[in-house]
Amino acid sequence: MSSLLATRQQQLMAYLQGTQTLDQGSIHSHIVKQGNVDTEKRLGIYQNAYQLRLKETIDTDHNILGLYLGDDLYEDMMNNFIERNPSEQFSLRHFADPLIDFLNQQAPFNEHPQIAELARFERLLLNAFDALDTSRANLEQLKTTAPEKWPHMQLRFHPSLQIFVSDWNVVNIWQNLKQDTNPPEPVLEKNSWLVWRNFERLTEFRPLDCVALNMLNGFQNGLHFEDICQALLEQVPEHQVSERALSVIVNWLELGLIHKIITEPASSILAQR
Amino acid sequence: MDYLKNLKTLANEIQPKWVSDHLCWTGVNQQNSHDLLPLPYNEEAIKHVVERVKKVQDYLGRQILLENVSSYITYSDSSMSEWDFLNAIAQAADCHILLDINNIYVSARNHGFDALDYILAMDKKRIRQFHLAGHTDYGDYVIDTHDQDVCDPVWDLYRSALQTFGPISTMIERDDNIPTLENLVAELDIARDIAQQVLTPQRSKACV
Ligand SMILES: [Fe+2]
Repeated sequence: MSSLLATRQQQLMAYLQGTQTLDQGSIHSHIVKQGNVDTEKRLGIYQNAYQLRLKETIDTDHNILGLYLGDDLYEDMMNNFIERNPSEQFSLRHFADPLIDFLNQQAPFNEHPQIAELARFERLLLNAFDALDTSRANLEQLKTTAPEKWPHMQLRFHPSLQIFVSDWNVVNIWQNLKQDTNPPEPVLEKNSWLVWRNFERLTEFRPLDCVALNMLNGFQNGLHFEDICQALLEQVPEHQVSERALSVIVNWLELGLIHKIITEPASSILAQR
Repeated sequence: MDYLKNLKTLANEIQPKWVSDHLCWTGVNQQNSHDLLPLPYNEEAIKHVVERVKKVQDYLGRQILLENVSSYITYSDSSMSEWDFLNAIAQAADCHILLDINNIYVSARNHGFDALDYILAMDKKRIRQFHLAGHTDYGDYVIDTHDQDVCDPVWDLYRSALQTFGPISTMIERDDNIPTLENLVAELDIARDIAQQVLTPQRSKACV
């Protein structure tokens, strides 16, 4: 790009981002003086709007993180993030996607890993909130599945389903801040959560125990019911395995987590192509 | 191209009356300002935009509407008025126009031209929709905030636009500081009243 138009675009963009260079030339000398409002003020309207828009985006996505950091540190974080991460996104919805990496890498945030974890939890909530919609399987479909088809059963989940695995008590921190109470001290504790959009289209989260977490990972990786049960033998006494696995699946159906129960073997699907 | 493909799919699904976009730029070198930034009004920019509008229209298989934006700066590279620029592009690309009357008012105040000159200059046969909106007035300049009621001078311009272009579909835009539905409908009724006054043929008394 070497046209005059492209040069003006680069100059104005650099001004908005605060990255003007001498050899690029300033946009200021290419703006006409008009009326009582000087060029600095006119350009300032755009620069102000640029900063404000990006800050509002971060603040909408990470309201609780803002409460956790407090006004000054939060403001520093936003300014620093905006400077280092010019938007390459088509939509502001994804502008703050790189925030987790930023918090993991930049001091002083990287010295407190629960901060990035808290941000990651908030982004998962966003993903659950606006994930695609689709139908949900119900208990009746499970009941009418013939016993001989059970071993090969696979599950497809609702697109809003997210798994949050954390080393810190950030969900607890999040809940306290959400209710305007003082957050607890950060504590190292491995824990897992289910995050999804429920039947009422509200974002919900629940703790996920080890058995359900392993089953979920297994089904998401395309394993069949018999493989899942086999793997459960390490966690659950043999005579309880199928009953336990069944109760987890029934619970998922009741929560609206399952999109589809697949009972046809994959080979027959391939053969139809 | 992915964007255009998605847009075409969406247009096919919902069959909108119009597809419109703003006459402006938003990003450069893969970086997005997420703002509607003005173009210089000159031959180079006309050529640049027309090529792209034609491509989009060919791909979508339909004419699009271009909408004027509010602006706060004028480039020294500009060699014509905004209305000549918009008309020239619409003609060369054979596209339609969405006239945002609030944006005309905001830009007129910021650049010191007469908003009515803009409206009267527009190519009548290409106008398909009007936008109305509110803004924030700082005295020396006006910022297009879309978070206030439509102001009286914009209603006056709306009246003039209806007189000039006839019955044109109108939309009131409001992005923030949203009032009650009752208040929104009351504002819509102002627009309806003005349209009724302007567009109902006056019967002369002799005929009654
Ligand atoms: Fe508009």
